[in-house]
Amino acid sequence: MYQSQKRRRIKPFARPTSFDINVVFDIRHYQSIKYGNVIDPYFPAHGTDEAYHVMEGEVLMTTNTPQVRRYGDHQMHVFSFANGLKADGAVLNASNADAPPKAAVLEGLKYAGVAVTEFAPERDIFEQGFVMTMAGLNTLFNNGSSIIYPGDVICADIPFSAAKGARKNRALQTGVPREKLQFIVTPLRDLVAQGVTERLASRFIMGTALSYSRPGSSVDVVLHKCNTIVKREVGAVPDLFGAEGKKPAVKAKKKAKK
Amino acid sequence: MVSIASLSGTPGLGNVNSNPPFSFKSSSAVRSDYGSKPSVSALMNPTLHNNVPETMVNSTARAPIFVRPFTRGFEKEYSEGDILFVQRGDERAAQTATHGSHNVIANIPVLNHLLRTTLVGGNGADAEQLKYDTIEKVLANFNYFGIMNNDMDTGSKWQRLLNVNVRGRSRVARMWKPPEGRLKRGDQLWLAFMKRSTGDKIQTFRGPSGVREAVPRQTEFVEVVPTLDCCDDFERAQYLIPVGIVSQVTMKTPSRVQLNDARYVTEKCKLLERIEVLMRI
Repeated sequence: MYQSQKRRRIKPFARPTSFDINVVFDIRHYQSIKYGNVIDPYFPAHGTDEAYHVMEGEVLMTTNTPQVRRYGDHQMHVFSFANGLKADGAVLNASNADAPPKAAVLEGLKYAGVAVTEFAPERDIFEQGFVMTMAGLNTLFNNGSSIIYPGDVICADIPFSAAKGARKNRALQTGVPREKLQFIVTPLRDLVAQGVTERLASRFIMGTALSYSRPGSSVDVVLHKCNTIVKREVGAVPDLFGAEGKKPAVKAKKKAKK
Repeated sequence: MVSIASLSGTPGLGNVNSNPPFSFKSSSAVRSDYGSKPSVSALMNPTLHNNVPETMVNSTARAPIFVRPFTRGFEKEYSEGDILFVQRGDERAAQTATHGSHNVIANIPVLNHLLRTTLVGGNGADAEQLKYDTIEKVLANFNYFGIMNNDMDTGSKWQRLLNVNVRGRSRVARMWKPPEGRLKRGDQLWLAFMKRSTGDKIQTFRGPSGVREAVPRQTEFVEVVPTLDCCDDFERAQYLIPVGIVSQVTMKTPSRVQLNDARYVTEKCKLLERIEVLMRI
């Protein structure tokens, strides 16, 4: 009777057919966000170190910046907070009305997976890392602003921010600090409708939803990682492919190199 | 008000399910005439089962496939971690009452050799046109099958029955290298079908067995190239097949020369280190 659906993430199955790997926390990204800008810190209160923690079931991202040699190892470095991400000179923050454009922020990110075990940078051992799942059945918290229907292809996304005191327009998960911007789950069609190109959105495909879910409730998903969407023009009707697909006849636009 | 007793999850009495397969069958002590000794079948019948409705984490699905021998014996050199393609439209692949099914199986060096050298009407014909000169013809004739795991019929020197990983965790030759940095966990591996041309010169390529073979000038052919989504080949490819997601990487990075040779020569491909990927997930 004291249970809250927001607090608990009841998984109908014990992650059957899952594919997991060990990853490590992106400690340099964490340090740059936490200590890199003391004038306008992203988590002002000392009590919100918890906002940097990776919790079970959170969406994980990795940076997709040109500095590929940042670590010089074979590990995958991930994080679960969107605060402090920059694009076009603006900074993404929980209560910031001047949020940078979504596509510009997503350009610097790459979807990694879903956390299976938690990680706290000030407590846990960095080298040991934690477990991340990439495929299989799972249950996530719909912390976005979209209603998810069964069969929807879902993507990892950055949340809407809002001016101080305004409605956040995203479902806040109980137990997560309000200042923390978790990565959210958004259907692919909604992400494309928000001005993100299909090519960019395909980099964030997480899987397929199996259940109806309103914002603030859990959603059963089948995660799959080996996918991309490439468009082929067949007459006037664009043809979408999952997994194996043919490249378009017209040369695709190259990503702008910074 | 809800009482504590009505909540589910309260501790039970601790009774053990005595029905098979959960019971621990205990027999009485063995007598002097060995009359009460357990039978072989009883010993082979486990009393405790780990029976879960789902498969374990990072599982692998495998499928056996009979390999039809090549005249030059290319299939004898296939080894663990080779990416295998199967030829379509071959009636000899059908199983009949007199013989089992045999499929033309090609790893990347053999497939590149076939795409580069197979002529219309067979290699003995006078025709000079390549059989697989367009990507559509290649896709109509070859399917990506999986990654070889082991040989299931080691007793035979005439035929090979391969056990092929088709989904899940698998070891594969490290044929991928990003232009900058290292191959990392979580990277997605691709096979790209590229259009190549010999240009104005006769070019020589090494075949699967290492023997050099000439390709005439002005010949356009299709080639399979391992690539990553950060490579130029990814942007120029006519068709892309996702192989899998890297889950374990070795420390030693192969050189460009080694990677190039591994696309053409089976023995060079065999020398590459093996990494672990999660296929078709």
